[in-house]
Amino acid sequence: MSGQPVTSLDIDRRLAIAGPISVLFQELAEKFFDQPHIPPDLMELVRLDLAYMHRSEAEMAVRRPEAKGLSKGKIDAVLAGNWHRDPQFSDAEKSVLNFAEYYFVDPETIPDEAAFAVSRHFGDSGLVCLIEALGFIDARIRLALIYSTKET
Amino acid sequence: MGSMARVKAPEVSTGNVVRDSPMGLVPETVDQIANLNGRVWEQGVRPAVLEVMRLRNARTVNCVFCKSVRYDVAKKDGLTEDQVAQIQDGHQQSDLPEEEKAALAFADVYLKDPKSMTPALWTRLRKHFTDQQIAVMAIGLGTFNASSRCAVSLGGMPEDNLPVMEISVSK
Repeated sequence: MSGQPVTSLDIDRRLAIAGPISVLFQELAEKFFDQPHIPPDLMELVRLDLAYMHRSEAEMAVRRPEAKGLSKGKIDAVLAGNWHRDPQFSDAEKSVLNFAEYYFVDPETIPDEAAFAVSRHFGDSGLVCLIEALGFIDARIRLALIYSTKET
Repeated sequence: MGSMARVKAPEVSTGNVVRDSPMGLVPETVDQIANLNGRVWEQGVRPAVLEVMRLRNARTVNCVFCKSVRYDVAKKDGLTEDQVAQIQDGHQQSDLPEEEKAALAFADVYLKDPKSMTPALWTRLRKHFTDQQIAVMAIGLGTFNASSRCAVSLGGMPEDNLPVMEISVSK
């Protein structure tokens, strides 16, 4: 372990030693940014929101290449925790970020209204895709934080 | 917690618990998730070790379905219900084997505060596991946790615990 910060974008280099299953893990992460249910720019805002909630400076400093149309204003608002009343964000985007924050705290706390708000904008498949993505993006951030710890 | 299911599962039955769940509504990812959940058991880590981590995750997330499951491969590997009962707070003072206690310490760091990983825990893990095995356990933790949290987030989780149910790993 080098002790260099690792992020969800490069955790696969550390996990590659696991063998073929690490390829599955990496490919799944990439699919969340290349699917028809939630736009990649919004998925990147979800990743940044998780990074903010984990207080991971390294994670907040990197950007997924798939999010090509994301404005600096939206990125800055998410990284400052100020998106909630920001008029830059659509109701659809707010529904996703709101759901993500409940999810991060504890999935048991997610109110039905927060889930149905996502479904209204993105359909049932969008809600399921978001839930899956939250789980695996959060997993990669958690593992990146663990693998960033220097070994003696 | 959502008392009712927020999404209906697809009306097809493949016999795979992941593919037959609402996750089947996202065909772009369902195969990868099903494969991860199945293949993690075949990557050179003792099934009993993975199972104690999976159950620690299930109990922490409070996924009633995940808590009720026991994988047959773990039982064949020697995991007993007496040991399963010790997968709770205070597990480091339990009678569980040292290998499983180290795995549980790793699981708790992942589940509760990944920033709390320490060099000492890396050293402890390496006393029992190779780097390859630790990476498999890491992917397993991520997969188990994402799956349990998915089940809870989808709503409709029973309020009471379910009877223990032994199942085989889905392929």
